[in-house]
Amino acid sequence: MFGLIKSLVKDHLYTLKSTKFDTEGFIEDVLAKSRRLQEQYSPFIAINDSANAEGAGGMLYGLPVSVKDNICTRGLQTTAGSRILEGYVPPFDATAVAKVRQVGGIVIGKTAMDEFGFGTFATTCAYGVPKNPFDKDRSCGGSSGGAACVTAAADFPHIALAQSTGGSITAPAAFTGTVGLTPTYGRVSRYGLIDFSNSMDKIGVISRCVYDSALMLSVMSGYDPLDSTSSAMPSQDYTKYMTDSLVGVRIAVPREYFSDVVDRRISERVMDALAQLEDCGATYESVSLATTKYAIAAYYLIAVSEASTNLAKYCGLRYGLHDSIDGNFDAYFSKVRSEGFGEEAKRRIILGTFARLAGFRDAYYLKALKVRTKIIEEFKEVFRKFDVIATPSMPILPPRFSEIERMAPIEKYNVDLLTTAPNMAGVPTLSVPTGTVGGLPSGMQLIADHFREDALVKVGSVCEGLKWK
Amino acid sequence: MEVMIGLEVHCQLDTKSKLFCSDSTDHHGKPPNADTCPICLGFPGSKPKVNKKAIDYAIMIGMALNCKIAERMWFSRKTYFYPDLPKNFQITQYEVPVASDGYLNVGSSRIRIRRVHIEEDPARLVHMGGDITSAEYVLIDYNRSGTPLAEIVTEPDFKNTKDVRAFLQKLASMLEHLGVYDSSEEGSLRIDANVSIEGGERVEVKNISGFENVEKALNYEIVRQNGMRRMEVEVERETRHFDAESRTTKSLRKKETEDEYGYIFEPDLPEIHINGNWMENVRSAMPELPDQRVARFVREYGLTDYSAGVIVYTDKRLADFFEGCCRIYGRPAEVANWTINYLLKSLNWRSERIGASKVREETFVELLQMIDSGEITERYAKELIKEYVDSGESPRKIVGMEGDGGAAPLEEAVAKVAAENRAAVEELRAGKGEVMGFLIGRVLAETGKRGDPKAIREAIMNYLNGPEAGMPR
Amino acid sequence: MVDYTRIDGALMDRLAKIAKLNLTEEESVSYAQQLKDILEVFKVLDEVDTKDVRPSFQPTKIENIWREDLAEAHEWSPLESTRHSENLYFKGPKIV
Repeated sequence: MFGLIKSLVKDHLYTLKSTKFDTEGFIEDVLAKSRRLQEQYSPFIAINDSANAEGAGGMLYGLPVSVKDNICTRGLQTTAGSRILEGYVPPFDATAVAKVRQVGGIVIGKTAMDEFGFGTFATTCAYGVPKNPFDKDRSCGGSSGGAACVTAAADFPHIALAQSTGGSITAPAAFTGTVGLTPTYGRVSRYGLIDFSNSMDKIGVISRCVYDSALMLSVMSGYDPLDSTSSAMPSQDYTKYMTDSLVGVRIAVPREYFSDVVDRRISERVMDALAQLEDCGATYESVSLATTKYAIAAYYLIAVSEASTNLAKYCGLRYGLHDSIDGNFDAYFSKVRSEGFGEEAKRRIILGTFARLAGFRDAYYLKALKVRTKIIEEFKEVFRKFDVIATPSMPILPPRFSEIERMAPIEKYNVDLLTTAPNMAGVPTLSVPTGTVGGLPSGMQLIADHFREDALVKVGSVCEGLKWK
Repeated sequence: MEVMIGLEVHCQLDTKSKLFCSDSTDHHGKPPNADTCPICLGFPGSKPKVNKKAIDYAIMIGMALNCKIAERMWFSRKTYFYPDLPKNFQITQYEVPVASDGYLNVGSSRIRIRRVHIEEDPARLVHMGGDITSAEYVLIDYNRSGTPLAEIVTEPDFKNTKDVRAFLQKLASMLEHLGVYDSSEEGSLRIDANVSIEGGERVEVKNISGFENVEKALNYEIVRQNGMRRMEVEVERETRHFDAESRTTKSLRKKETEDEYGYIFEPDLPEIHINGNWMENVRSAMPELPDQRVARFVREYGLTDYSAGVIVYTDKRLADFFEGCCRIYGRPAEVANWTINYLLKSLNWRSERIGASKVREETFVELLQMIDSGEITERYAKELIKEYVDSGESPRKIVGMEGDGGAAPLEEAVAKVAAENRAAVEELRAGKGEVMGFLIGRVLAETGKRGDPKAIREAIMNYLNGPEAGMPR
Repeated sequence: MVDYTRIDGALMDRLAKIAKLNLTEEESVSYAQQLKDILEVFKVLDEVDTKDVRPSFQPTKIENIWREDLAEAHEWSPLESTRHSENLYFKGPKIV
């Protein structure tokens, strides 16, 4: 059985700094191992055969990094998991990628994902579905499934750049026993991130341990003049919040996140964790987040409304999938788009187009934005008294592909019930493993106030030392 | 049947860079798509960032049009598919425009301004192998894509096309006075016009460039709709395209109805909060506006309201020209008279605006001075002005150049006429004054109709009293 | 006019046309059913009192972010990613 392994990153970076290192040989070896991973689990859309280490002496010099395929990489195909972007090679790096490369990170490949991020199981990817290293018949979670898969399965030091709109980091992290950090909206520049839902998209991290996520966030975060929504708050070294004491830390436990629809084995693990955190000095208390039941509806309406406009640009003219030009623009665009988009993308375009139509716009799109205001206010209220909120990451254990196939779209959307509220509120979350249940990983989601990633690192770092019965 | 016309005027704002990226807006001498980047081409992952100058300019326009300025505003996405739109949505303003509820007085009518908003210009399409309705394919130049536009929307307050023209002229002059618009740039002012005839549907005629074309398009459309009414054919709500060559409008497409644009807030661009301080800064930077300038012309130069209005509302550069001439020459009444009655007519006849013409203050003043000194007659000056507008040459040089082609200096002409008309000269000497007119006429014929009759009379008298008079030549 | 209150084939055709998608009969039927199911569940939002609540365009408060009006040339090859170009222009389908 596949086990939970600790990170190799810290030692690797230490070794690199203190000894002479054969970088080329190392990269060769990592690429060879990546190809083997690809054969076993198909986590990649592309492996970067010309991977190299720039930024000598930088913080991440010599560290293999995978990049989710909706984050632009200069000179390396970027498709967002969609056929409509097949063969597209971006002329620029996303700001987050540029920052990683600048300090010596090695981009080893682009990881598989649900098309444009439209999924919770990474099963809508146009270039192969990543398989869960714990059980190859099961999903890695999505949409950052490939990122989590590489992170869980790699036997080389590695950190994954991932992205979340409504839970796309937490879900795969929980399903693969890895750590998933979703930063505050605007903490990491979105420049070069292929838009799904611009008011909710966040670039984040999936890694083996909390330290690695904190390290990567320190590198990627900060104001970017190219992204008007990126925060002006200065970046900081988040690794310094690693601790073993939680004295004075107040944890809120929202009742609505422990309802019947959540697998009891998963919530019990969270309760077990809380009891152990109490031993480390933290206190916890039950609270109510009454707006939780509205989160999925509000989230999906905002997400599809924005997504259906973002996807309008793909029409076979300037990049991506092309066809021979015949007929008028109406016929040509419809032809290319029908060929290039997968089923779920089309469904969300239709749903989003509907939600934006005048006459429905007020009842759906605008209503959802107002509900978002209430959800944000409710979180803010809780954070007046508490440092973090603790919930299960996912309501279910990683499902079998055969089970996913039988689910109706709305059933799939309902799986996001624990992740949509924090994601649409733009508050940061950290998913940490809570051991395995019947051989399958489960996770706990920690939520903090806007720009309080420090609290997540603090509590998350203690969670790594917890023991599971 | 009452005609109702409303306008949407798209004015390219004269900024250095585009609305959402730093590409230049000056494409002179550059190949297609040279002024583009991943942002204005809508490449995946690129994000817009708004140009503050464009907002400043739009606030200025709103203030000049007596509008309320929004305290908080944002941008929206208007989604529709078209090959000139890189993202297949246009970033524009929907719920809250930068300015709203204003007006502009034109003569005795008040045209209400519904809103002024900022949006991005689409690309330029070249229809290959035909026009928009018959081309085989299109070529797309995205240089223009992302140029900031201010869209000025009026209420349907126009009852005739003459008011439309007067409004547009005044508006353009105002925009130029504000320094937000470059009239020399082709297509920098583009107009969509809504036309309806009482009881009928509204027809939108899109993308008309140039004031004359607006008049032509509207006149055609009014005739067309009236004709349909008489034939009892229902006028449908539609979008039409004006074809400048045939001076007709053609049906383009059934327009997406407003509910299909599916406006959403532009989530990549945070809200804009226009506070009092910002408003004050813009207000204090506002230059003199046309109405103020007209008042000043009346006050300082003693012009009539009418003359001042013609000069200022026609074109800012005409007003600048007038003031320039006054500085060199003085005598504003003369400058105004010659500018309005002759220079402007000549320019209009050539459909030329002064800024694009060869007319210069120094040379125009030279012409006025030639009249004063008697070098040319007023009547001749009125002829000369056409040639002057054509060539832009110094009027003295134009006169001289023609002289080379046969005209002789005055004294020579008089001598020649006298030699050929000895009898008349004798009669004149004998005191028969009535032949003077005849002789002057001959001299004028000799000089090519140039010369002041007074001067010619003097020259003839000099001749009579001169040494060679009476002597056989 | 399409009656938008009924989620049927006509509405699906209209949506597909606006969104520039060609839907097969089968897709149209199944999307219509799914749209119905989804909207049924989303009706839960009607319970929320949002009177006088401002919509949140963004989850965090950000305002007045802009750039100054400076022009800068971007060095790149805009036509590199397209298959359709002619004489430095992008080439596209006709309008009508």
